[in-house]
Amino acid sequence: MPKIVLTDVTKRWGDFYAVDHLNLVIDDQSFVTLLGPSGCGKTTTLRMIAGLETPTSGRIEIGDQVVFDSEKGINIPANKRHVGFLFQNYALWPNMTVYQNISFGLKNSKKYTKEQIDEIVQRVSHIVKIEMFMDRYPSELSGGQQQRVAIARTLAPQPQVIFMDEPLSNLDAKLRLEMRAELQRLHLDTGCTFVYVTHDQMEAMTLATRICLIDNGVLQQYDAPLDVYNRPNNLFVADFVGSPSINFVDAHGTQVEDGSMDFGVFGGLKAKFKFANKTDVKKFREEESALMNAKAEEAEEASKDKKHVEKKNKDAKFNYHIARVDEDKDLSPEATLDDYVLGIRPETIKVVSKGGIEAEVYSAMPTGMETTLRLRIGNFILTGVVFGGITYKIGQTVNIKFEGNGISLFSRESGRIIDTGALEV
Amino acid sequence: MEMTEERPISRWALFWAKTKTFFSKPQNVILVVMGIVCTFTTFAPIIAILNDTVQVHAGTIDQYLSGKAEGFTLVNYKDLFTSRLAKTNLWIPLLNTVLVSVLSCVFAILYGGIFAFLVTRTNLKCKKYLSSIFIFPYIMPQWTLATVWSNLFDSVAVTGTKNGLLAGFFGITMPSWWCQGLFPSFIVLGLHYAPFAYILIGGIFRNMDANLEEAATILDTPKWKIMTHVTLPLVRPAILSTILLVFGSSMGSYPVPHFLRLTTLSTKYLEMNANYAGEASILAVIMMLLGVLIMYFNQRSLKSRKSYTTVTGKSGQTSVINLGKAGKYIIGIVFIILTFFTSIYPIISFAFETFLPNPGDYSFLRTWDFKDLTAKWWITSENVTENGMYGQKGMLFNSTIWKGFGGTMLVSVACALTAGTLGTLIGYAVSKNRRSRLAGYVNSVAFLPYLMPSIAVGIAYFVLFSNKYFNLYNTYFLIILVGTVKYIPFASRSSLNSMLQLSGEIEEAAVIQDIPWHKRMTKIIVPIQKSSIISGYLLPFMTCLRELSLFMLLCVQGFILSTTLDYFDEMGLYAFSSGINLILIVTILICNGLINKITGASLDKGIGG
Repeated sequence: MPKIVLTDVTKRWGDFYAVDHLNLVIDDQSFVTLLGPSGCGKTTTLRMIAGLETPTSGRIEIGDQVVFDSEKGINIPANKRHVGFLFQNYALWPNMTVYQNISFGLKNSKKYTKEQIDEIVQRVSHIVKIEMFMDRYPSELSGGQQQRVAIARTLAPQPQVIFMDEPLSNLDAKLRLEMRAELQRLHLDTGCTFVYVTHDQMEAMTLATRICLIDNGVLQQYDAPLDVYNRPNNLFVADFVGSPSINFVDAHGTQVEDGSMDFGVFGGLKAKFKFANKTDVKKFREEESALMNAKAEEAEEASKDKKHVEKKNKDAKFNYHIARVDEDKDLSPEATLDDYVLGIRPETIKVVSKGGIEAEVYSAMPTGMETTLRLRIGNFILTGVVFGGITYKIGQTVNIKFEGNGISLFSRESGRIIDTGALEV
Repeated sequence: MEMTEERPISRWALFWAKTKTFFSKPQNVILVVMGIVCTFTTFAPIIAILNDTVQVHAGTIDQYLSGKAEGFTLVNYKDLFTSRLAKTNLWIPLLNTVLVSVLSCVFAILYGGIFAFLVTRTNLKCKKYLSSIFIFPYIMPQWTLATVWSNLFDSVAVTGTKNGLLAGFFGITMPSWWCQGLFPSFIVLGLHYAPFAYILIGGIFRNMDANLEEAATILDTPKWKIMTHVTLPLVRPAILSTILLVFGSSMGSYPVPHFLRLTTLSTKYLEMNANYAGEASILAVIMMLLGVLIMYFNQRSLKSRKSYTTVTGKSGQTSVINLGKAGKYIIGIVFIILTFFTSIYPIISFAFETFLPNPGDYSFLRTWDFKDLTAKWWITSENVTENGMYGQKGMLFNSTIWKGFGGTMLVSVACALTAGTLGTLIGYAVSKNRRSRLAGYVNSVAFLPYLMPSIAVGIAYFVLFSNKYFNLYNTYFLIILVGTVKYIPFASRSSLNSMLQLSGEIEEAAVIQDIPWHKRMTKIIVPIQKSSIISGYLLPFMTCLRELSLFMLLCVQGFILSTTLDYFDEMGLYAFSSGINLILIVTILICNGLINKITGASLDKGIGG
């Protein structure tokens, strides 16, 4: 059954790297989303797997068939890869009716008789509920109906793998929610492998069995949605996933004997960070520098190769954002090995009656179900989410605590995660 | 994994595999084939004509000057540029050519541009009628307006030819500069190409996002400032395309300066061709250089053009300028009168001329007696030498004319089919490979003949195919070949423009479902692009019907209709040349109307692309 394996796949246009040495294994029957900011290479990745784009180098397998291998010169064209593709703009053929759109691909393979084609069209159009539109032309349908026709057309030849390129981005918010649920159900009903491109992290979180987060053509994290959320690999992932965004807090300190970290945070407050697992920061630092050295060596090695093209769109260190009242002043000093960044999810911030630290309510936005609070501690601002309809006054002082083991600790040097743990201030 | 023992394959096998993948895509096959073909059809004639400039032609002036019977010599260049005749043979025609081309451009852009503005942006009356009648001069043969001009203004006293309508009927004689030479030439060429300016500039006016102007209005910008700072810059690309087109075409035009007696490079070429073959070829090279120069300038402005193409599909209602209660009628009437003279009068005039007993005998207009008209030019069915028929049968029975008509139809249909098909394929293949260098090359090399003056292309093919190795002179094959090469740009441009608007996903959706290429083309691409593809066939067909400059050197005079016309005109059978004009115009109008009715495509859509 189709398992998709990408090995060292690179696509570049001149010295612009759209996809940079990507390795990825997509399991059979999974629902994988390729997530990332616009222009990060996710659509290119999808199109390369489908065969609509030719990689510069690398190797792609679908099932047990090698569909692309730059070293062996294998490149099976898109039409022989037997995959389905759902386009962002649906790409319905405007000169054909809905029925013709769905049946056109089937009529070309000699496998089916006319009755069988009828039956298939019936079946797939029933799945997406468009039986009543068979004689209409695409221009006579609404956006959501066109979308369904496109899905039916993709399903008709019964592909084992279906690729979707931001299929919901042209729909209005309400319809998008509806279609999202239907896609999830469709995934179960068909048992196909779905590969889904989106820049909407909510879509990725809610639909996928695994998220593949890409930035600047480089794979950042490939994990189950909740793992990506709870244990982000690096500062970029932590920032990209989650709404409202994660709070970043600069921390300066060292590991003490009992294994926990003593930090100075918020410009002078003392804090203690207890790792959830046994973690040796010294060991992490060693690994980190080894990794960075290896990367530098690799880059030097590569630059010796005559055919190597320097990446113009260089990978920059992720510039994390610390919310402050006086935004314009840049306070962050040079990073030392004693500098860390704490990642605090908004929902871990709890308002307590006493204890913890004092904070001033900077703004409060109740929606009924929850209230998004912006809390001021000295010059710094934290965003928290409190459930229930509590009204806060702006300027009011509250006591807050950080709850649970889900606070992430990142190295400032490399931006990588060290571990998660609990924070006491 | 069991893959451990895989070995890297040999370089040749890799190359072979890659080549096979490359050619498995039909668009790549088209690009490679058309690349090779177009390279030959475009560059071979240029090389041939360059070679001709340094070759000694037996029996011509260069043999005498160089003292050699064969071989190579630079004496042609020396003689043309430095001899006593340099002024008459080179500099004056060159100056005239540049002047007439520049002035035609200016006139066409002003006339067509103002008309475009009035039709798209004001509340002018009779827009629909005016906009369809306005493009007539382009549909009609180039020389139509030139002959109309002569028929109107010539007089025995000034031009020494027959009396035109004005002199014969009203007794008014116009001064010589008005009747012949530079002034009428650029007016006529300008009128002929003004429809281009109208269609290109009007297209932008029509599609321009009204928000752009509204944004300026909200900022309280005065109307004239919006015009000069927002609207005109947006129209700039269209103006540049018009310049490119009009300059190149009027430079290479033969019939207009020929009829209006202006010496340009093209008329000089024909004059010199017999005895000064080598020097004439240098004139052709100069024309080509001018064409390439114009293309270079256009290409340069095309690069900065990117930032100008703000034409969006979401054009709301464009703001309509009010011409005033009387203004909208007055300006409308002015244009109705103007277009009557450029579009309808020629047809009436040609028809009328064919019933005059003698050229310039307008006595009918004084007497309104039908005895003063004759149908002899049409219906004489036997050889008679009296009546001024020079032994020709009447037009309805004249085998020369109908043979020419048949030839023209054959050539036009064949050119339209080949140029239309090849051009569409090129447009398709280029749009599929936007980024590739090969596509860029094929696109520009196929476009190059468009910029070479017709007469120069004709000359080049004459030199190439009418020599001691090949002799294809006076064959349909040669004429169709030249026509195809020259008209591919029409089709490739209109197809490329529309293919670029077609999202690649439309075809990819079919590729994914394993639908073979021929089916994708016939069932998806062609039906969607129907109207622009038909335009791609229509343009070459129409242009070919009335082409003279391109073909006149490649066949004898009775071979196709336009050269037959030239023949009768020189013979002094003006009724015949008017009659042939009429036949051509009516044929073109019928074809245009039919195709428009049947398919919904029309000439103006293709040019505007």
